[in-house]
Amino acid sequence: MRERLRTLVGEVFDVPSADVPEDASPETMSDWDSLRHLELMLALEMEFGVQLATETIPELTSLDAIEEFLRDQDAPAG
Amino acid sequence: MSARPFAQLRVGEVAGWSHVLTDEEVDAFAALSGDDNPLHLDDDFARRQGFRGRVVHGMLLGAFLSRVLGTILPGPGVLWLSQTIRWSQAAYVQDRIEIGVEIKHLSPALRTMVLATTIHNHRKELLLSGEAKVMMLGQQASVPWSETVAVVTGGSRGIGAAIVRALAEKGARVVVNYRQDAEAADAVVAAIKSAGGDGLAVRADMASADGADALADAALDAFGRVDIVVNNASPPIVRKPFEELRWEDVDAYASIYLRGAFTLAQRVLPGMKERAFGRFIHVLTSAMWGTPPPGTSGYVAGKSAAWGLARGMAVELAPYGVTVNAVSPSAVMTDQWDGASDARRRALAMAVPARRLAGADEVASTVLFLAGSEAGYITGANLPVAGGEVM
Repeated sequence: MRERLRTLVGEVFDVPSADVPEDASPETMSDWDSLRHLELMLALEMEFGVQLATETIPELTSLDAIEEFLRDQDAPAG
Repeated sequence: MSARPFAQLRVGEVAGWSHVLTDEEVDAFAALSGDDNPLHLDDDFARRQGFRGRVVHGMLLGAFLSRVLGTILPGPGVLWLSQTIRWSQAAYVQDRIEIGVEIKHLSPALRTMVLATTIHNHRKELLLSGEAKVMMLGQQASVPWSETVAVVTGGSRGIGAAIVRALAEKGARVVVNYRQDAEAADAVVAAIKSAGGDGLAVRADMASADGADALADAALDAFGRVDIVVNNASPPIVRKPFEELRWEDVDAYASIYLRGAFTLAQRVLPGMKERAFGRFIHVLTSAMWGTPPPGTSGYVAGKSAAWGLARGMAVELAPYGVTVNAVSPSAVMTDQWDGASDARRRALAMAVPARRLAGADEVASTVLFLAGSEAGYITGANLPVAGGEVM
């Protein structure tokens, strides 16, 4: 999942996936502004087939947070 | 031209627009943009390069695409975030272009969508293809009172009847719910109609999901929509020390305040989202604020549960133009107080900073404010109507 996620972030930010830092976030990527964040969230929905909730969007600001969110989507309830 | 509510948009929805390209448009675009490349302005030059005539600016096609996105689908209120474009063929003056857009993905949380965009000429040749990402900007929905339909539970008397009258005076059609007193409910509806309004009395027990469903059915069958719900119904309020309280007592409050309100909301919400306008207003109690009076734990628990539901709904429904609020009156002079002595009433009034008790019309006017289009930015608010008793 991590590689798929890095590839997606690379596509949205128009950089090779290898150049996406492991600690990618708005602090470490200068292009990660509000518009890019919106594009990333949209790409996440389309690539992983999830529907984000309004309150989730501001929290998904790192690869770790996004990966954890995606794993929670797959995990059985309980 | 008004913006379409986001909830009305569907994946797979398509729209098109057809237009014949003219010399004047190409010349005007060259003048506007400063792009006077002879490929666009000089037929002979273009033909020598192998084209049939001067080539229409690619971005002029893009401008017409902007027109479709901004006026047809998704329409007014759209913000164009990004666009990929691949030009496949040249477009010429006198070509009839067919612009097509199709919604491929919708993100309600982002109020954003992805659309496939194409432009063909009249020979069905693909001129342009690409993908648009657009956002629908937030909008302040305004619905005239005369178009609204309100449901007031427990609307046959007291605070409920005052709310019904206030809404009807504004021009709303009002469904007056009652449980027992058909005569009183009919009288309220008759008064509305004699004043030139429209209303309907519906018997339904809001303590049961079936009752709330029946009320929703009746309102939707009669008027086709529900824009405003006022959750006002209540069982008789009986003070009991906690040790004498039985779960059935608590359940009687919770069934109406929570289950009835929940069921009714679930039924009418889809239409509110479609129209990007909705109002849920709970009539709660000032006893929820600060220290509750002894003997009211069941009652206050029921009202507090309703407020918990309201807050949760408020945060989730705000993006759709649906607000969820409450009013919390202190003692209101209705027939519930008929048995109270004058001394008891005076004591109650003296305990309030305003030194008087509230009238049902004062609660109604607060509900009316929250129900109106002007209060569209207020959600998750619980307004005390208590003369300063709580704050």
